[in-house]
Amino acid sequence: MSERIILHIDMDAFFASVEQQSRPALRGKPIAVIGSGKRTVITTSSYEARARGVRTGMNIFEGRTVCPELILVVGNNRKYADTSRGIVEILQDYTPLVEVYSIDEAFLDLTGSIRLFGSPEGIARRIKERIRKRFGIRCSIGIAPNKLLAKLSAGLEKPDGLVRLRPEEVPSLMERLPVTQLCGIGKRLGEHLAALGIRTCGELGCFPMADLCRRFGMVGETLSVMARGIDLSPVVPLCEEPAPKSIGHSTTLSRDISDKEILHRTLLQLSERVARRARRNHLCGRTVTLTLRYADFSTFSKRVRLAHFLHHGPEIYLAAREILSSLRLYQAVRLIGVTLSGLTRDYLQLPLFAEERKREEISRAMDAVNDRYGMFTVTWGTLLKRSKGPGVISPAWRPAGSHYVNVR
Amino acid sequence: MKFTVEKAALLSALQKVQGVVQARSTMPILSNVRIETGKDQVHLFATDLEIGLQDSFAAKVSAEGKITVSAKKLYEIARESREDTLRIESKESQGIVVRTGKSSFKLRGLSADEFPSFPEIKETGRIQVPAEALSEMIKKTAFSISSDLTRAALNGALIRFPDAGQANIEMVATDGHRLAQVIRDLKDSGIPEEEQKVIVPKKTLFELKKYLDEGEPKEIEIVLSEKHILFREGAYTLLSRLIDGCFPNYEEVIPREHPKVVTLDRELLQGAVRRVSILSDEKTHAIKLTFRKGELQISSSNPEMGEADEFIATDYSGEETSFGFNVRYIQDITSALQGEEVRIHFLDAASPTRIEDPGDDGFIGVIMPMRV
Repeated sequence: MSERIILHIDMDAFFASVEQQSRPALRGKPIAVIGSGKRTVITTSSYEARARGVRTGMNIFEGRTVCPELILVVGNNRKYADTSRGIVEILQDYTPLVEVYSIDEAFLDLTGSIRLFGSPEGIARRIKERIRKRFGIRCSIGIAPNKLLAKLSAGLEKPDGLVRLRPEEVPSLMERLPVTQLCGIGKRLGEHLAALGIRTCGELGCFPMADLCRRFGMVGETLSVMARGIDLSPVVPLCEEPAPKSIGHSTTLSRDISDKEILHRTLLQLSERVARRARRNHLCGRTVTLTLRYADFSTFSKRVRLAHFLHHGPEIYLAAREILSSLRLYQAVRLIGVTLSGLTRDYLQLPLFAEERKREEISRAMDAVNDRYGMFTVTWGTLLKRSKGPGVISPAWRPAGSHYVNVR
Repeated sequence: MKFTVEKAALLSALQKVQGVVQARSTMPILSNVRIETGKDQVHLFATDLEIGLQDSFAAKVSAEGKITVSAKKLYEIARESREDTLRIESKESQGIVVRTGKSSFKLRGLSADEFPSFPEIKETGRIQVPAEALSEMIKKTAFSISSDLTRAALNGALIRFPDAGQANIEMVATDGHRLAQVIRDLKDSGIPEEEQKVIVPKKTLFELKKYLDEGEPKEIEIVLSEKHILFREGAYTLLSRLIDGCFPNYEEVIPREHPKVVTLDRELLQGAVRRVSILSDEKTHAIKLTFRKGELQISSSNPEMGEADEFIATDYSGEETSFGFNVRYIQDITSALQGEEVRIHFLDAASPTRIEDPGDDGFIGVIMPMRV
């Protein structure tokens, strides 16, 4: 394969920057974006706050302890989703090969674009300029021969960075780079590697691959290749994403709950969201998984495989409720989630009985109204008492496809 | 308790209760079988709290008593015995000793008093049904029973017992996508004053069918109560809880008159469907049937594997019609039927299709198409 040119773009303190743009009073101040629930954590903080030691994942108390004048802002998911969509539109002006990696990150394959748009650095500068002009936010860009190195270089000069890593510079960079800097090697894996005396990518790359495979299985080979800065994975544009394996929603309850009625209502709400997303993507599933996290954070899930494929909220709800009622709850529940898997496309076994055929029509009518006026505009009576606060937007959010969730 | 029994008699009775005994249960005693002596015979009883099964065998009883022991282990001991006679005795309720030839087994047990017993039932009806007819009715409907636990009412087959004026019995099963109905004439009309409809769990029907096919009984007595149904023949008694639920109005989905009718050789259709299904989608099991003048085309396609087609000559002369089906539904119905031919009545790709046996007026199968 000839030399590829891959660009990775990462918004700087995305949620916080969007907030500071829309409310000028917040600019230049330490702010932290949090969820709306009572038991939320900091999802993003501005660079001003980061300088004071505020970190993602801290709870409000911890944040205030390190930075007493920290300004807390409840996240507005719709604003982030809209901004993200706008940014992707700008990126798509330079290549159709745009892989939206998360709500604030993307990969672009510019290999074929330089003939039209000139040097990769030029394209990167233009992208940065357009995003800053239109949305007022800054980003860091890395350009390299593959996705792994592009993501690595985008992280080298944050914020507002632009790094081009050329193939000939790769060996010297990798030689001294700590392994945990690589995307995919987290703290745990880093500790396992350290136990083998491996701290830098240089050391990992020289380590006999057979020994790595014996220790880590199939991952061993990937690790060895990664450490040498090799990554053959292609940039996968949105419309070509592989079919999803599952569709799920979960929510942390505003307080620990053991009241089955509230749990059931939450289950129905989650099931509706799962069902709607399945229907929008023409998917049906036959495995329903219920996930529970207890007050002490112990988490487990239980699944049931059904005889038929389904994509209606009440059907998914009934299956999930069946699982819930088979469990003895040892503690109050902190988080509850429903997942539909075993998916297939466009499975359309028609129902025999009129009642179920009506259900099909009801779902279609509800979808039509809710598509236009927003999720839960028309819904089940039981859900009138549902919790309405917006959760934290999932990093897996995408502007289209099965990961797309209509956010409030 | 002390008795001597022929291996064959003990084995046959134990075999019948095995199906009811639960391998893993929240109540350990339910994996046991209750043994109780009577006059020149011994009664066995097992239950999973949904179904209870009682059977007896002839034995030389020399001391009375009762106890419960592992049904599986006692069965294995009897099966492996080299001798034809087994001597079983227990002194206290702690277990039994089985002696056969030169081997002896001490099998621990639990007190029979702790074992659940048959509930008292209040009879509301009683009817005699030929065993062969009952077995055939189960065979031709049970495959349509739903295994979807969220639809309790469909987890069994509906049985309609005739009132004093009628002389037929009906069995219907559906899973919401297909349906099978069998009606069979009886010699006598029913005892109940009014018609009764009950939903009998799938497991009960399978246990009963096993007995009907292996035990070679002639006639079965069925006793109804509000919450239970009981099947009895000689010493064999199967009692089951009924499913409490609302069975859907199935009569309204059975198409009465469809203008398009095709009659096909059953084995030819079965073979073609089996061959084409090799390349049907592994998840949806969809195949496509296209009826056009003089022929039926059966086709399948699997995006990852390829496609298959087979043609069967027919006497069809109507307009071209095609629809999708779950191949399993067609296979289930064609293998449950026995006649040489099957007749298919259809309208279009969104209406229920009726499949029947031209030689059997009492059977109707209905399959809802798939959109393909």
